[in-house]
Amino acid sequence: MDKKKILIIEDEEATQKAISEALADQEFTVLTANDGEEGLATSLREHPDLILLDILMPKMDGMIMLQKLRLDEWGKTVSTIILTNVNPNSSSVINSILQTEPAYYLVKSDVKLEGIVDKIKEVLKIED
Amino acid sequence: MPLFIAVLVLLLITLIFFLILSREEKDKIEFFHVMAHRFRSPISIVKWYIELLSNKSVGDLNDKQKEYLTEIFNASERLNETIDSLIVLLQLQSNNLTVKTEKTNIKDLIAQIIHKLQFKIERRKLHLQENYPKDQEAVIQADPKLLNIVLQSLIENAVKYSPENGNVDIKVNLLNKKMMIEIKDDGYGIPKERRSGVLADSVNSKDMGFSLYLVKLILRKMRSNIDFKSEENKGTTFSISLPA
Repeated sequence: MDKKKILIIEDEEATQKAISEALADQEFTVLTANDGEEGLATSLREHPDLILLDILMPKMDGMIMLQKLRLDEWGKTVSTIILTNVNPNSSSVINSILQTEPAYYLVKSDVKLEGIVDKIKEVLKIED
Repeated sequence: MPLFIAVLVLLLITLIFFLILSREEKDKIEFFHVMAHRFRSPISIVKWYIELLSNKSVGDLNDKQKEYLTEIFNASERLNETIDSLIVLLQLQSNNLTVKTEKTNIKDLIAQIIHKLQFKIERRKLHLQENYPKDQEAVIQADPKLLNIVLQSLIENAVKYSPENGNVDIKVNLLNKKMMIEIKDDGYGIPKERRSGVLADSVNSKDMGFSLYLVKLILRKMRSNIDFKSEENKGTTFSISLPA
């Protein structure tokens, strides 16, 4: 079976590295991008099976990137998990979520790496 | 050393919290959300790298190394919870908190809290007893996130103020459409001169002050009550009653 391709869009290097290590352990192919602009270009070029997306990033934030991605024929249905430390209760975040329909909204400081991997497997329907 | 850093960061957060008290309410909350984001990022990095270190693929850890990593992990977790509590406090004080009520199982909530505190309970060799109604499920309509802050603060205080080999009893009862939760310890008790300040309308007692002040504000928002009895060297019992 082909390895599933995961794109991590995250500006914090240590965070990107930790998630990459956890995913590499689980036999995923990992791609990375450092901001929303690069993330959008990589998404449209590589068509990953799932995107892990941070919100607060330089150049283009995650929510705007996702809105742009949803305008693309392939991008409008690609599975996306928001992974951020931004509080999900703010009205702008709630409106964006309703509009762009990510599969999950996870708060980094509340979730373990293992929990992220479980959610990715669940979304991609991969059984252990 | 990591515990020292955690304490230092906690003090820093508290200082920032008090500094921003003078700002306009909305600005204050927005500012604290931004600060909370800044604090949470390094916390998640610390926690994730502990998880990677604990993974056997990077090599086996000895028992001491595991113990120290658990201490660092717990301190990071505490820091994260303190940030959440500060945000809730700010929202309560500025009347910006929305209570999200849902079916909440008290037994499950308490089990999760005890699981989190297990390390401290074992270290102090405490005897913990839980009592739930036999004929009914301990389920109420409440905001689980807020109730979790309340119950964790009260259980954590009971654990913290109990001597080694002490007893902590948690009793849950349904009575006259009220859910009564009692958290009792046989610890040091609250000195007489400080009792009047324990449930005061401001943060005015030194160590238990912040968490109990928050507990009181949350329960008021949930239209619930809290009371306590305490005797020096015999222990303290906190009782809360929630609409069932």
